[in-house]
Amino acid sequence: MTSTFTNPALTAALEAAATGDPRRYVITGGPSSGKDDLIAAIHAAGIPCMAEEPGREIYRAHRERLGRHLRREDRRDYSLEVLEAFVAEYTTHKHGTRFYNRGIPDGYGWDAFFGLRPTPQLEEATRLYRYDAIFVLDPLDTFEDPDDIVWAKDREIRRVHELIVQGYFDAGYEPVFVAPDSAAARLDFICSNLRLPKPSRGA
Amino acid sequence: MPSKSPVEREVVAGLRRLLKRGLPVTPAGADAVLLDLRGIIARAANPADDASRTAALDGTLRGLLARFNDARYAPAARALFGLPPAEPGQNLTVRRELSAAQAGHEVHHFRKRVEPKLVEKIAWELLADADRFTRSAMIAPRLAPAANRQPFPADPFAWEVAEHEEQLTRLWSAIYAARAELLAVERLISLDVDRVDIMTTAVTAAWRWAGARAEAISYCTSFAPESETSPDELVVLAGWVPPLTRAQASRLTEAAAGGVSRERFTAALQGETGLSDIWVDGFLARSTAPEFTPEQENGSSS
Repeated sequence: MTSTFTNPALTAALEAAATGDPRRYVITGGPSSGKDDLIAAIHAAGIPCMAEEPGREIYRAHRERLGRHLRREDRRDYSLEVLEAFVAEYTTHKHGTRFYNRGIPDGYGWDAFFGLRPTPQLEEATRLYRYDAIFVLDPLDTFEDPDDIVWAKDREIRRVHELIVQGYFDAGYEPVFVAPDSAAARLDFICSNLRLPKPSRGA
Repeated sequence: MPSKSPVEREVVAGLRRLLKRGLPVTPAGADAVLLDLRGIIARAANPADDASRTAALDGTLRGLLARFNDARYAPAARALFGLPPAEPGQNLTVRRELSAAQAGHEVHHFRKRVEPKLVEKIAWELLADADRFTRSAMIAPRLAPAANRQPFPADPFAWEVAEHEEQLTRLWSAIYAARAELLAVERLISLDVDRVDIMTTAVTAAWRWAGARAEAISYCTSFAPESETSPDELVVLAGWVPPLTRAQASRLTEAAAGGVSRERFTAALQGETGLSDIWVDGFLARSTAPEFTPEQENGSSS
């Protein structure tokens, strides 16, 4: 359950940083990594954060326009449109702390998932637009029960996760891995890593 | 106690050689056995390029070491491979001393007793990772009882994964449906039933087989990586069918595409008595002429 309390020390730290240089932090991970819960916890703690990953709406729009699922030949266009949205999200942030629901290098994971080579546009954007820290949420489901992993989708979701992680290494980042835990505990871990007061202290 | 497999031994040996230089992995320090692991190939932006695979191996090892799940030895394992508190460029002796200190062991004890176990654990993690990347459309997905509803997160990756499983399931449903009819044909021939009954079932088998071939082409076009699995390699899993030319296989496939009914399938092939004869007679001839083999060409998707 997401806390609605805000730590006054955290609020003060964010306000102090609000007029300073921009600080951009990415939250990423494969599906079922608990990303949505963590993003909700970030919002609840009053930390500036991207609302929804732009890829979702763009994906829906592509499907609607095509009238079918994305085929191999459609995925490049989708990928470039998502990249454009991420670059816009990046460049409009000018001051203070902001969290991102996935980042530009997630494109490497998407491309690898579909056997596509990274585009020159992705390489260029990765070089130009650098984030200050990357937090990778490891999957909540550890697949310890052997029956869990027989589902093709579970194996695929794990594969997506690893490809996203590799994308960030390819982009020259050293991601911080956030172990499976409650959203509140994960946010505390992230804030502590960024030397920000822990939101749970306000609870 | 189970002994190590040859692959595991090779991966351990490859890691030991890599350990001499530590991370970052360089092409000179990366063994082919490590670069050939499925997880490494799958992560490489260009799997045909050694430099790309080397970068993928480097990222994979960094990820594994960052998530090393033994709290006591995690800092030691990281330092041993050259991650903080070690620094890039430090030789193995220096890194080993740092690792031993991190783990609270005397350095000789660490080198002889602890270090081999850490390397083995990383090797095992690499092999487990490779297993996660082992995908083959040639094996039907196993099913497990669904105790709970399994909602999907609102995530484009998850949507694509679900779409993939939907298509894979449709493909296997079609392959098994074809298999059932092909088995029925052989059973009726063996029972020596009336020729009309065999012909009727053979036509049903043609419809199902062609439907499976259409699904296989659709699946491979949308999801199967190039050069890994061909539609005909998939459809041959349904069972033996009479030898067809590429054009004949394509004609049947076109007639069955789109999940049409048996009636529409036969209507689309109305007048193609030559093809019908080849199919039906192929089964009947085979029952008395065992020189037909399953290896005979069934046509191609291209």
